[in-house]
Amino acid sequence: MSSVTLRHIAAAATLVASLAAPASGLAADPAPQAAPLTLVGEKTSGDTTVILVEQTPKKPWETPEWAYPERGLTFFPEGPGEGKDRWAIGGIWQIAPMFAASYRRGLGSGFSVDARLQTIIMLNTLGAGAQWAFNWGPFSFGLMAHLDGYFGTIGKVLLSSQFNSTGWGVLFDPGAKVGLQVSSDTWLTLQWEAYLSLYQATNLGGLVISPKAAMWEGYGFTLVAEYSPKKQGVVYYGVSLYSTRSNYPVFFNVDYSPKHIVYLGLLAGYEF
Amino acid sequence: MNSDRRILALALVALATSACLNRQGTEPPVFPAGGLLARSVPPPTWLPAPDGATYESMVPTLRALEGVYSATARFGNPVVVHTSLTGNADDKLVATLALFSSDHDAFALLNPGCFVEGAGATAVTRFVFEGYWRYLEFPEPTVKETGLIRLFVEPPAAAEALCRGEAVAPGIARLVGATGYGNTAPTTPLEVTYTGARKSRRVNGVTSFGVGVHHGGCQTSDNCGVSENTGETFVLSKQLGGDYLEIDVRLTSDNIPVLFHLGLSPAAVQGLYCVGGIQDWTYGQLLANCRLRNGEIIPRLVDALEYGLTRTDLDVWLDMKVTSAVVPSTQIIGQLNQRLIQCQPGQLPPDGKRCLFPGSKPVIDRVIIGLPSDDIINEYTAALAAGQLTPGQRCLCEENFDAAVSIPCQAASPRYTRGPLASDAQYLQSLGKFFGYWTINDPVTIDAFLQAGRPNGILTNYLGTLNVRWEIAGVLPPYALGVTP
Repeated sequence: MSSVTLRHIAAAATLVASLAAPASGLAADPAPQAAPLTLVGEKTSGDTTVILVEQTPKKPWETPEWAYPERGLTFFPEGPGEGKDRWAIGGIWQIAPMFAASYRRGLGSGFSVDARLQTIIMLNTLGAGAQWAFNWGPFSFGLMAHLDGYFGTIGKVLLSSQFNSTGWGVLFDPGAKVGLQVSSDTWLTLQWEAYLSLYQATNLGGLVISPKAAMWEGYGFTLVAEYSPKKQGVVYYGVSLYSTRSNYPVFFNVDYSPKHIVYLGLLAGYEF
Repeated sequence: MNSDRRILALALVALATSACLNRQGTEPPVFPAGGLLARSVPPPTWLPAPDGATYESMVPTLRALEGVYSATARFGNPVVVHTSLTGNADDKLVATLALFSSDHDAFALLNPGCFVEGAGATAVTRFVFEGYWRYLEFPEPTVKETGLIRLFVEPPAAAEALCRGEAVAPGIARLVGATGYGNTAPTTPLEVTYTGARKSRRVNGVTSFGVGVHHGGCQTSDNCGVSENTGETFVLSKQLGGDYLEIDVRLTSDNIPVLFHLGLSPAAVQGLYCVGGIQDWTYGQLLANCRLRNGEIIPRLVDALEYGLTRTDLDVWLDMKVTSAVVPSTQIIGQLNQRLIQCQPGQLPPDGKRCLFPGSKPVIDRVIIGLPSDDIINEYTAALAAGQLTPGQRCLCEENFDAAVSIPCQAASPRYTRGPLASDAQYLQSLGKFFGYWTINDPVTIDAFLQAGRPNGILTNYLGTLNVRWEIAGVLPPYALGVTP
């Protein structure tokens, strides 16, 4: 095929496209149209002429600006890629502020393992768990399970006139999450996590009490945004809504009640 | 008097302007058209007693039904059957029978009635109890967690004897009937059978253990139909098995002691402008702007005490939430100690006086001022030194046991999070003082503290549960309460 022929075909296509555009604009419910081809140049080499047309614009999320961070994210279900990891530190405000730190490492095939720490000195939680994620359309879905050990004390330093209590126990926290990238630099994750107390014990002035039975403690929803304009460090912030037993998680210094209460939480931090 | 009139006028204005403030709490189920009780007569309040008998020696008719029972449905086992008398001593007493179980913190409250079924030779006297049951574990009960209950006393001979006001030997009677869901008619069969007597609470003949009522037993958030820290909670608490009642005292900006726990939050009060703290408002402003969740006014201490002391025999622990409430509170106790007097059957009070609940102790022996912190202890001791306390005023130190001995106070009741403090408990009890804990709701923890601390009482929100746990795990204190060496 000669270069002239090719050029004519391209010109015809451009014309058709340019004519089609206003027509579709008049349509009440226009069907998606191919973007018009715009000639931007040609190159001839021997018998061959290559015409250059303007590249069809990509959808925003197909551009490099929307690329997933090379080392992944901590909260977003997809997590870090195989062999990649993330550290994060921050704070959680439930009924009182707590320092939080976490580590997540990708294993491949959607799997990752993680560890997390929360502490306010009088209450300390250290947990480890695993997550599995898969992508479906623009969404990333994940399932997770964690085992948390916790220890707390009050009265040794603070409020010694009314407290001499220490508590410890083990929580099992299964959960699920769904994530969506909402801009080139922001990922949203909605997470649900349940809290099941496998074991807990309280030392009240030397008297050790344990329910000796697993207890449903409640659940929490967390919506968190991870913001990473340079795809390196990540700032995260979010809000949580909890429905838990009224003395969770400080069961060792608050009256037991079968009631569940609803309250808000805030979280924010930085992922390295 | 002028002050009372101003408050009365303000109350009327508040009533007119707050017509849009309706009760927000749920109400217990009720039998349509009054049920069988509508065509029954109450059984005699007391068993027959000789002329000149005092209330202290008289026995309520229903007491024969008290005991530990087993239930075939609805309630876990064991079930404690508790009876009580409440009501205005000047008017009419109301008998109540309660069932308690620690499963789901279940309780049932029933009122008695006698009626004749059939006619002529086949006529039979029936003794019926009707009321409602509730799983207190669920603060906002659905129809699956509360409902109507109707029980008949069996066998017929026991029913007829009780209706005649005659004594029935313990264990003779059983309760047979049904429970339902919500306001629907009770159809699920229930039989409650006696298994034994209730465990003694006496040491050397002195009652030395009691069930403590936190804020009023059913907290406002428990939706029992009555708001905490009101006069009405006295009556409900007594019916639910309480022996002493802790209520919270704060001071308005015009120095009127009122009952209220914390801040004016929507969880406790209603009213568009009802915000802030009690100390921010005059009492008139509180009346005009605030209603409790179940529609009650925030009561003055004097009104709530007068209401409760004349309708129940509960002892009262006034928890001082602010130092400035100490002196006004003791002055009110002194005034009531003059105005409310002990009466005996057939005796009318002199003009200007009212009868205390039948058989109950004088006000000064029933109302104790609670001192939760050192600053309030200092206020109390300063008032003592200045002669501002009502003579005979009693006190309770929550955490400071040294002060309980040195002031001296008659009671100590620390927060349970310090542990059982068994040696402190035993020492204070050896001095004749009351030693209890606040506030324990969990059955496992209740059992542990009953056994490890051998206290004189525990404050709880679940009165029925504590009554049941006492039967299962309770251990009498080592010393008789109030008996000093």
